[in-house]
Amino acid sequence: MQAQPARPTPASRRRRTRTVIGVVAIVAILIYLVLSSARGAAVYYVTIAELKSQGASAKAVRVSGVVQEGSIRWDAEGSLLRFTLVEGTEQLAITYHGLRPDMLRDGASAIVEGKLTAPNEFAAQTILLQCPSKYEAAATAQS
Amino acid sequence: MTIIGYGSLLLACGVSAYAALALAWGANQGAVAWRQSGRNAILSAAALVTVAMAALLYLLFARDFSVLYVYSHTSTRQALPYTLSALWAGQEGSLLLWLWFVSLLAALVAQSPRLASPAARRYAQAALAVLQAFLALILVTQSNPFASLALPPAEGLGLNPLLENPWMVVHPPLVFASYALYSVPCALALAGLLTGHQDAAFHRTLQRWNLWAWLFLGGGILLGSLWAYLELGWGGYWGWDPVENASLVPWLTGTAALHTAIAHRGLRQKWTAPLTIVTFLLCLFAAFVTRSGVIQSVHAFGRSSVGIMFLAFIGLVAILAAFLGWRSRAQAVQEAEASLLSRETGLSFTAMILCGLALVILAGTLYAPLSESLRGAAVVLGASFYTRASAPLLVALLALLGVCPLLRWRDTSARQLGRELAAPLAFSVILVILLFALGIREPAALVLYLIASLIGAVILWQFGQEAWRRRDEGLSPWQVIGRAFRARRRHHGAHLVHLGIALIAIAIVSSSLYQTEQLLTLREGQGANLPGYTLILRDTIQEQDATRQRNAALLELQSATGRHLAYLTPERNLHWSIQQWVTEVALHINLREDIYIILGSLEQDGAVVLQVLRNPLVVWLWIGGGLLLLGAAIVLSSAPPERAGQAAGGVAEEAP
Repeated sequence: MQAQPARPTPASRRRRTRTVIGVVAIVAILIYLVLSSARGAAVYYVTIAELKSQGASAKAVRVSGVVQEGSIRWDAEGSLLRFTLVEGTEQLAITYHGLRPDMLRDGASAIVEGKLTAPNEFAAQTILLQCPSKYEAAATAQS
Repeated sequence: MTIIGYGSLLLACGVSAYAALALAWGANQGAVAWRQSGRNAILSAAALVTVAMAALLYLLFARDFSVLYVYSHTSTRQALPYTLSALWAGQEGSLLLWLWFVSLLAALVAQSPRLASPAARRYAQAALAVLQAFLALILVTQSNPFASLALPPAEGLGLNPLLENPWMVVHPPLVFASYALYSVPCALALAGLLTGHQDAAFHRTLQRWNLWAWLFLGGGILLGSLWAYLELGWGGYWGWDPVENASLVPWLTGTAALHTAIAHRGLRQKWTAPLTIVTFLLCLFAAFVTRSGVIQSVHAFGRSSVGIMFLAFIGLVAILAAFLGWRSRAQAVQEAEASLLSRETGLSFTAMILCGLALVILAGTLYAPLSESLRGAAVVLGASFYTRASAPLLVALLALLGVCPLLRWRDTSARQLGRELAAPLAFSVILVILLFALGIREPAALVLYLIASLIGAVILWQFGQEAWRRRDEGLSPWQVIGRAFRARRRHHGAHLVHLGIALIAIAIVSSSLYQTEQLLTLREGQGANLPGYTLILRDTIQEQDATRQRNAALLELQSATGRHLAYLTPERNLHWSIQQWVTEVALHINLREDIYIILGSLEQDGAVVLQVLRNPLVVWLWIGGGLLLLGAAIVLSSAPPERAGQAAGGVAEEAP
């Protein structure tokens, strides 16, 4: 059996109350920090059909699909990349300003993150490409 | 050889399980014979695991491609150091390495009677034997490094070229050594909770093990980010990737554990043991994240059933620890009153904020998988989450770090604090006003520069005063500084760690707020003006060899006045073994900024597309990190204080 704890004195009771209030306050602050930051930073996956029905928006989303055969256009002078992403029967024109990603080729499966700027124009900030390799999740990120 | 390796692992698993039972029974019953038998079992398990390690090393160096692990991670073209690093390049090998470290530490604990109080040490040995048996069980059932191929291929796949970097040779062993090192204080803490023997000697031992583990984990994280910066080629050193986060979280809680232990009055020390256990569980969680593939990550090894076993083990240890903690809650703790403005309160807040940071980062890491499984909404959390959520906590933590050295134990009067803070604060304010005048207007940057410079100013000001008091001995200034430092090594070692933190904070803030990026398209002989530099394309190189197709641009970096500074060759190589392009960045490093050049592509018409990043003050991140490790090593190298009064970093003058 455990030794009985000493009878609580008013001072220790006060300290206990203070501790409880402190812990509750800290947990509340942490939850607020996590939730408020997550709201701003969360990027949702949508399908091309959903994206088009939502229309242009200031909020970034992720769309996945397959790079359409023969759709890749690369302008080295302006570092401007264009291609078409296909998901089922839906198509989406992607523009991306930056380096040409290593693994971008016809038929590659890609995830793009960015915003719809016109009814069929998606400005990508990030392109993730999946490739078959022994490192399963070795997707390269270019942003 | 595979039979020897697998057989010794199998035996080690059985022997460890026996050792756990024998040690626990011996400790419980006070049976010396059982304890002795258990200790012998621990030693033989260590020998068996060493045999398995040697067998795998032999197979790797013999390039025996009939073994799946050897085939997957080596090739005949590989340089020798990378053949060694193939040992921990894959899941099976790294688990074996971890088990090896644990078994050596368990043997060390079994052989050194001085490491802890006898009762705690006996149960701690049993706990370590359980961990050892668990890791060996995973290896023999789920993740056998000696699994063989029916038809041995002539050539192996070789190491992933991304891992062929000197820092990547050192990074994984450091991390696994730290995971192994954290298992010892965790075992001690569990034993302490179980037996109720938590005296001053117990806490000193716990603190020392915690600091060793913390040093290794910190070094591992630092080298990991250095590798990412040099090798991954996206211009940054920290991507808030789940695997990176998973190793940072235990480092934060481990830091919290170190700080609760410094406040050596019973008031806070009761948190040291639970925090130590939590830290080790978070290490296991990090292993789970890397192994399970539950969380998408660039570093993950892929899906396997190993993750489930880790999760089950974490759950069991957590339940056990919670039960022991609940049972020992009534243990008498002599609590001393400390005022709000005191070192004790400062240390408590430090520990709380560190735990808060760890929780926030953990929440961010788990947000995507939880949201997917609970709400069915596929979502990713951008890096901005971590900056937003952690910034207020980091500011509070650094501010506390700035003021804490000025706080006395028990009580500090506001007037006294104000008097001692005046000079350093004035320095920092003047510095920030100067920076403002120089055109730095970002509020976040100004706030953090103020706080970080205050940390440095307070520490150096205090040290300067100490050295000044020792000046009148006819010594050179360097001798005076050396003597002042040696007089309170532990204290000043800890302050070096804090100086390192201040430098790291400055480097992170500067490089993330003031990174600039340019996309350039150059032709041979053509130059581009960057602010302060000229970059000229001298040549392009395209060649093939047995391992890769190499594409490189030869660039000359000149100063604005046309003085030659360096030749830089960013590369983009297609490696045959993995059929992937690998970027090799080119770096020009100086104390002010890094010029970080990524080769985008060599076009058919001879044009070269480059991405040029300028990362200000990044080198101070590595300098600060080095200072941090050096400080911790200095603290460890000085003998642990005999009197508890000195455990607080040399503050011996206060009442016992």
